[in-house]
Amino acid sequence: MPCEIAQSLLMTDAHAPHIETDERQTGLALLIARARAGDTAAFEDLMIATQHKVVATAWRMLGDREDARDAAQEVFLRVFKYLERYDPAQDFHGWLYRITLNVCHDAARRRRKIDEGSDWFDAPGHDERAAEGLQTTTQMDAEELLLREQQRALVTRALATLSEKERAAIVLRDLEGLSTEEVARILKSRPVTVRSQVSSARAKLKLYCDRLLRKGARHA
Amino acid sequence: MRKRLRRTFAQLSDTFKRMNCAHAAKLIPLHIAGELTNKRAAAVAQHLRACAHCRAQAREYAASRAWLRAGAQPAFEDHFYDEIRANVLSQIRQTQRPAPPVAAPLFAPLFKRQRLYVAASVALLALAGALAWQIASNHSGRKQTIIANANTAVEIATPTPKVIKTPTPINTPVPELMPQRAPMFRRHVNQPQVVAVNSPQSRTPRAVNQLERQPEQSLAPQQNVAQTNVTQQAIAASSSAEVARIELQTADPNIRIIWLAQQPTDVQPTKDK
Repeated sequence: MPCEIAQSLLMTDAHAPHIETDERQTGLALLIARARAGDTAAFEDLMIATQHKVVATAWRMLGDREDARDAAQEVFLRVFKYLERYDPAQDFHGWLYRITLNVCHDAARRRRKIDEGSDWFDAPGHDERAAEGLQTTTQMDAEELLLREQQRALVTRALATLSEKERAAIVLRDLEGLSTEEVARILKSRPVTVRSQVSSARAKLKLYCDRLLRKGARHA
Repeated sequence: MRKRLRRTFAQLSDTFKRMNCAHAAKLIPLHIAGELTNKRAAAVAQHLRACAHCRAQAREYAASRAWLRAGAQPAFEDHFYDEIRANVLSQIRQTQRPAPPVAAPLFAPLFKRQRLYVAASVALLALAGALAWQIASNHSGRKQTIIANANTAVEIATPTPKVIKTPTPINTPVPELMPQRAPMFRRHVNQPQVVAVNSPQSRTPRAVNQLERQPEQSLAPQQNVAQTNVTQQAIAASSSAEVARIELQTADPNIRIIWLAQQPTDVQPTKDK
């Protein structure tokens, strides 16, 4: 049950232009302080305020809905566990991204151990499971829904062609919209390195798109 | 001629300054997101204006980026997030310990684990300190007992008659004892612990404690002993009727002072080496 603070934190500037960024930061700081004091309701509000970021990042990094759910749960458990160690002077979102990437790294390593050699992005049932998650009650027609799902699956596969570091850099830089310096801080790297990883990732993704387009043209 | 040369040089330098396609291809992925410095961005833009191939490349980069951003938006329903939160909260509640029943609000902070550790360590330190103090006090008590014993020994020694300063023959009548003084503490640093009494009749020296000295035995004066720096002193007193023989052993084992006294008035000290 989301409270008012969490709702206001979820709103973007476009949705709630009257709510200043400072106010949202203050609301977040308030939630963090209360959660640190052991207030479970405040922690739930904190989860509501950050769940979209965490789940989206986990899904982009892992490429699987169920894995993303497990990872998100693990992230929030770690946040609850280590919230006492969090320095309020530090950027909370950066700290959260760092935990998310660590959890995804651990999950990917576990998965590599389980099915070594198999392409997990092409695992049977992956697209079907993803399609199940979509609600058919939306106003989109079936064709548009299918197209979106196909595009999502292609993007997931395209991201799978990248190395883990490249994927993390492109997810944070292009999909989460962080600056190069912020990404470098989260990845504990240098901005030059991040720029190089992002450039390499973009080149690989473009190559993937080119191949797709060529393949589509051939089929047509 | 000069003008033509200048024009050629300007064209050549412009060509060198201009970015080639290989260099531009490396920078285009960063250029599309505005991640280049102004100078480099201007150079790439100039190259893109001139090169159709690189322009197409830049367009493809931008399209693939837009495709990625459009396709990487997860669409999860609300109950997906609700499920995550519910699972997390249930796990948190499981891990959280139940609070103590009644006294919890008052005494819970007192029994936190960290405070318990601190209290335990403080108690341990106090115990160690008490033990150390006990041992130290026992040690000093023993020392005091030893000193008390020494005092007792001195007290026992004090009633003995005083040493006669001038050696006198043994057969002469014993002079009157000095008047009794109050017992005083004497240190045993320069005093011999054992007196070797050597008599001409019996050749074997008899070791007696100084405390057992008989009043008639005459000893060397303490001043002489101090002057010769005697550390180990052996006094042999002859018990013969005519001669009183006093031997003093100095620190040097080669030097022994022998003092012979025949008559009460006639003392002949000799020094043997």
